[in-house]
Amino acid sequence: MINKMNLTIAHKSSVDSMKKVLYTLSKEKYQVLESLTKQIINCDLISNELSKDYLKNFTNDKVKGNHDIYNEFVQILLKYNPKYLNNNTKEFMDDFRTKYSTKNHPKSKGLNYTISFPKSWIVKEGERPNIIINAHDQRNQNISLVLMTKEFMTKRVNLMQ
Amino acid sequence: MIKHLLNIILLILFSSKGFSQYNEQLEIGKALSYYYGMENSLDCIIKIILI
Repeated sequence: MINKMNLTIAHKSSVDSMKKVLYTLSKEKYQVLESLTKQIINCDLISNELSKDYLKNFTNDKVKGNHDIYNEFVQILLKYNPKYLNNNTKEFMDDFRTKYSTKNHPKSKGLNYTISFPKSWIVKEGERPNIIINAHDQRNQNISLVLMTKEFMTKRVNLMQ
Repeated sequence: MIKHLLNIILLILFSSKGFSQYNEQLEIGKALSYYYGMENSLDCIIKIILI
């Protein structure tokens, strides 16, 4: 019951917003598309053990998206949530966060630090040799984060010589 | 020559618009299926617990 409540509180508004977008995109096919997304699950196939397994870390993994498998879906739901449309801080404060650590990363040059940013942001590996990651807000392409490491001290010593 | 070039540009513009719309539909479809899947599973589990 608590899990269902958490799910509704977190993502129901996203679902309503997505339905509106889907309707504007394809008015004629809307009914078909919506019915396709509503999966009908045969309850007879769910046993007690299966349900226990399913409910294990439900809110953290499936609602908050803190599991690699579910992360992508939660990111889409957050992208369409009207509460977070122009409010990355609200998303961050509601505990939808991605934590990134540079520990053991080949480009980190031995510098270990951890950074958190809103969950809906898309993270990509940096293409340049000093750029570790490149993260950007899906709703606003102007907001992005670049993690870069460079050996500034070596250059300073060279200048002093 | 210019007419052909214009046609090509228009074709690229329209196809990219169509492609982005298709992508958005696909994205929404994925997220809606995920949400409804969870909702239905939880309803089933609640039924099992109550019975």
